[in-house]
Amino acid sequence: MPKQPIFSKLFRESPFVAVQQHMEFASEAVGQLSNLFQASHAADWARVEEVYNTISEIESQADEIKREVRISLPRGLFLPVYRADLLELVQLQDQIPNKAKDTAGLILGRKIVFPEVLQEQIVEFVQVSQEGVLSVLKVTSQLDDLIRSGFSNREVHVVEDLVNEVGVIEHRADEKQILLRSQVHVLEPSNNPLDMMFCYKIIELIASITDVSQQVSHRVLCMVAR
Amino acid sequence: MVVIENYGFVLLVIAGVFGLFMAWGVGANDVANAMGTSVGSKAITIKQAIVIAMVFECAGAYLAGGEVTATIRKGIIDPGLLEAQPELLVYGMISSLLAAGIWLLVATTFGWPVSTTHTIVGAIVGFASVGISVDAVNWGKVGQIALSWVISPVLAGVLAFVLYMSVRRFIINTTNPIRSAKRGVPVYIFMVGFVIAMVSLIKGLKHVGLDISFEEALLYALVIAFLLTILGSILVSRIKSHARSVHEEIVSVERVFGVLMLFTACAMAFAHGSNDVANAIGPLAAVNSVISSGGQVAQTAGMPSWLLILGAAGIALGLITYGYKVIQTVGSSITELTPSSGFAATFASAATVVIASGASIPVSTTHTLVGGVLGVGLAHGLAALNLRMVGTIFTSWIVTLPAGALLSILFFFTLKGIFGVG
Repeated sequence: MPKQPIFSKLFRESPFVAVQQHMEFASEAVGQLSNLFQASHAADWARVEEVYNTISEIESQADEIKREVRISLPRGLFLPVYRADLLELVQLQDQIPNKAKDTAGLILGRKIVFPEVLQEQIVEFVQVSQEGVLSVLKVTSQLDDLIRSGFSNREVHVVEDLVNEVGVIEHRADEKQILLRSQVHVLEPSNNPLDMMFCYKIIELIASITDVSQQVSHRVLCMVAR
Repeated sequence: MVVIENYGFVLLVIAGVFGLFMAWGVGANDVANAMGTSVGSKAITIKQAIVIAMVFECAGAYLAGGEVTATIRKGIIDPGLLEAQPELLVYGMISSLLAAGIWLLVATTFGWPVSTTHTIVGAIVGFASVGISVDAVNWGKVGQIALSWVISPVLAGVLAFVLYMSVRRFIINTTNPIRSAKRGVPVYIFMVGFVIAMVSLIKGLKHVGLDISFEEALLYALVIAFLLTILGSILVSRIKSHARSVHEEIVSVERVFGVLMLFTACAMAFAHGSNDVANAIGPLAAVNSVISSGGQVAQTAGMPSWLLILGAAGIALGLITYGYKVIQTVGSSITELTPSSGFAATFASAATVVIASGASIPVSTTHTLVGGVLGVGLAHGLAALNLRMVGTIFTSWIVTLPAGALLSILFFFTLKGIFGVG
């Protein structure tokens, strides 16, 4: 007889669960980058394409969640954080899978192979950015607990510590990036200038994944610290 | 008086059937809202909720339901004006029951949020002002009731806000939240037990045959609350708490609050029974008193307890036949409530409703609960609330009063046509 009792309509599903899901997809997309570089170093272009397709698939799933979060957050919803903050957070998070997809697209499209001396290091660089994203995943996974604990100080401290962890990783990534760039610079005279330009480009893209990760973690902290 | 003499029994049976119908409606639909926050916070299972609702709705109706019933029966209408034509009061009350019953059925079919209280008050005011005369309505009392409809959700909201803030300040935000919870929760249990015991002792037990003074009531309420606290402490101490991370700590604290929620759910069912059963039983009581006294309107005789038992039985019937399904629906759709936030919202509204019951004011349990939930939301205790619902509730409020009134006026003149005046 009753369609939806009044109480069911008052409560809305927590948007923080979707935010966390989105971040999981983001980290999955970045996780694929190791495979991507391994395939490109072996010049296995069929495999590169496969990885590109996987990343592209994950990216569109993340997009779908982003869309859901946006439509599930109409005005008139009462949230414990600012609605604009939450929308911006998802927007920021969404750059992570996008950048992973850009990297894969560029490597596949231009068949970029890093000079052999750099191959090991670029894989390490990618691993650092993966670590960063995994740390951010830990930060966003705290959101649900934060709401449950009513933003208790202890819980906020947990988030602070995790954000610091992301900061340390970002610093490591920076150092790695500087090192890599100087090595590319050394190789410039003996290589095709265009290839070199694209090496710089890829290094920049991977570095930016870590940068965005850090921005996401800061955004979460700003959202919950008051 | 002829009508009463000739058709008295028939009219009483009709009123009894409609009264039972309405009580059934309360049990079938309204109880689900009262139990929703408890089930939704996962502190109690649906089966437990149904058992609690059965026992405590009936206890509330029987032990503390008398005062509001009296308001519905003789507080809204000035009985002095009906001295000469008691049958009009009988017709009117039967019409109100039928009008409210039908309107609730229609509203729940379409999923509109309406309150049984608002419907029945609208219906009584409607038949009295149009069918009899505008002066027949005790406008002072009606104004007071209408005001309470604004005040009760606000009061519940403020209470819930303060309660939730206290939970955060004294339990969650301490160095050892689990230990604080194990110490603090019995204190909250004491509060819950005391408020409920006090109101039913002061206001409810007169018609059961117990007449006790305020001091005695205070003493008994303290004893009852103390006993409940001991029971709660035992239950709390049985909860194992080992927390290696902040997350596990939160989970353990909520488990302790689950014990509290058990008590709060009982209080809510009790409060709901004490206030909402009057909507069905008040008009029936009015009809019964006119007919059993052979046409006296303004007599002061108390209320026979069989009426309250009938109301309680109607609620129980509604729960068994239909209410359990609605509880399931509501409970499973409220997933974002934790025991600590659910406690704050539920206890705030239970306290507000039970105090209103003691002050013989009919308020809407559902609206009070909405107020309580919003209060917790304001304290940042909930993930997402749909504020548009507040607008919808407000609109349904405005629509319900004239709808109940129009229907009861229609039935009033129909009954008058069938049975005549004289």
